[in-house]
Amino acid sequence: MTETFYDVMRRQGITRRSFLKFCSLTASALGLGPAMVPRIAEAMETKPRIPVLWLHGLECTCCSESFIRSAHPLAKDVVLSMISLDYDDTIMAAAGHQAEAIIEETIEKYDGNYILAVEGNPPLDQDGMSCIISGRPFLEQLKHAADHCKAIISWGSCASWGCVQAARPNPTRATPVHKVPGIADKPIIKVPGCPPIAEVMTAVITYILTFEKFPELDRQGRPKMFYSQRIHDKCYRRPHFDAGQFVEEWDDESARKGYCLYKMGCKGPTTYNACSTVRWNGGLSFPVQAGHPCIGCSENGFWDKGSFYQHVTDTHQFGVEANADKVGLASAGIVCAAAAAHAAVTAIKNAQKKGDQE
Amino acid sequence: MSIINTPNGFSLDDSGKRVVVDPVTRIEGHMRCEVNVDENNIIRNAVSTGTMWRGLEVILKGRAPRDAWAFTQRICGVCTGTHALISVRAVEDALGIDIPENANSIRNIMQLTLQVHYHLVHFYHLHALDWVNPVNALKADPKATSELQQKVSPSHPKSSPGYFRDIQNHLKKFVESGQLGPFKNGYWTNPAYLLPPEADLMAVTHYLEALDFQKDIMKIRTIFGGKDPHPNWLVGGVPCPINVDGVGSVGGLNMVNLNQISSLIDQSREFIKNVYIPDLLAVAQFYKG
Ligand code: SF4
Repeated sequence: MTETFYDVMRRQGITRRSFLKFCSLTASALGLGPAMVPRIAEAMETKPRIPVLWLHGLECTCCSESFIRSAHPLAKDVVLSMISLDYDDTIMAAAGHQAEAIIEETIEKYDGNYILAVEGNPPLDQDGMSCIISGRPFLEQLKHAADHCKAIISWGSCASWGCVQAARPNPTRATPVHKVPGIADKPIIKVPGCPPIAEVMTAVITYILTFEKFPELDRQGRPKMFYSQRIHDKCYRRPHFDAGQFVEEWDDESARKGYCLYKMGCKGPTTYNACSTVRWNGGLSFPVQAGHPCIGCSENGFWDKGSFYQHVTDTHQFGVEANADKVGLASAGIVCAAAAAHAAVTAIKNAQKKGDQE
Repeated sequence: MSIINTPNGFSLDDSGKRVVVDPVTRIEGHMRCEVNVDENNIIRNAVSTGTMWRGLEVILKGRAPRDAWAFTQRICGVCTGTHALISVRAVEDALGIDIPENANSIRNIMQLTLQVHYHLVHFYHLHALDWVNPVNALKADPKATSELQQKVSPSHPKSSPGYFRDIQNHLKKFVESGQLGPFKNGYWTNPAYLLPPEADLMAVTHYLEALDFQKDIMKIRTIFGGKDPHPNWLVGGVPCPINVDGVGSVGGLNMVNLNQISSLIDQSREFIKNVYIPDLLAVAQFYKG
């Protein structure tokens, strides 16, 4: 017997009224407007909990940890009421072969109908043996589960881009999911970030469950609703950037007043993510708000773009790797240059103003 | 008895029955455990293996020391920040940098916040299902659970029979749905589970309460470090500027933040005192054998 999200909520004592409230909150969280509320409600009322296999490759489990920090919806509600998290080696009760059996059971029962969520990525060198699960390379487990899934969620920068283990010299040839040779041709949604924002993760799940499809993706496979703007576009310190007011030292007066961190190395101008809008841990803060420049953790190859404390204009390491990403890197370079010019112009304007006053 | 010598210089008793658990699912990360048990069920040899290698030590070579913390931080996202803190301290030690007292206090608060958080998450969410049987909780009399709760932790407010009955009903229907999620293929009929049903119901309830609460503890680190997991650190101090009473104090760590941190610390203390420690003692009581 499979039951719907609505069934689960009802039998958990949640009234229809609060159920509809939940649906409208979900709609507004997804930026969908009131017209979509009935559609979400209908989806939740009629759809069974979808099985999810959540695999862990080379990673640090920060994506899972972020996921459980979600406030809206609570991680508890996602796991108990929205999806059926049948395999996740961090929180599952079963271990060893009893855990591994679940993968086969799921494939048998839900062939082509479960979601494969991948945290981390497989190493291709050392015959894949730098990441082993159940005595076999993780690479095999990943490809096998991908062969039979409906769609793949690439959680975090590891699964999406490669992340820290793929930083130079990438000792194990850690490879993001979509670039794994021989991986099944399934729809993949990338939710990058190290880790991604908790509420972004649960919103992506809610969207997929509601509409039975991925949200609109950009050319790189990221959901546009969360990754189409740069931190810099919506940063609350942007007026200081525009006014040429920059932090110059960690403990100067400008730092205390919360001026722009651009000169301290902020990668906000080249980083596509929702930190400056959705923010972190229930909308509480984000790195810039707590005084540290954005390190660009949702961007491809952010580990190898120079120091985190170096001005973004310094892009000498861009384009070192000649691969398909060259185009992306080059355009990132243009954005950097534009941002730098922009900063310079505002700084000059500021200096002029100062000069006028003197 | 047969003794084998391993390539890395250990000698192992390889006799008896070999039991392999791979993956071990009670920890963060990738691990395999193998034991050999003799006819009396005594473990004669035990080997554990970390089954993942990323080569962060190789990747770090030649990097800017100020950046190193971000790399080492990614060693673990559950004890997130610990390896970052050690990294910034190592750089400071090497360069002879003394950090300001306030920065030291902030780092300590962040690290202690993690310690509290991780105790909860490790006990309830990574580990408890070795001791606690959610299926057995269905047999509990909620009244007995309520009495147990009031006995082990008189000041925890969520202790009425109705509260536990509610949780039990939810759990019952979750189990009856046949989609067991994280509880699938568990060892629920194994006689090694020793808790009586009322204690199982209490512990499962707190598993859920702790899951909701743990996210709030980490807000302390989000205020200081901007996000969590993987907050920001800085060689030479901390990135968050302090501005409690100056012009533009909203741009730094201000009175509002300090009040919020203080209240989060109080709530965490309450949870540890009323839920975690009593649960730990109660579970230990039943298993001490
Ligand atoms: S450079 Fe960074 S701190 Fe400055 S406005 Fe842009 S995102 Fe904000």
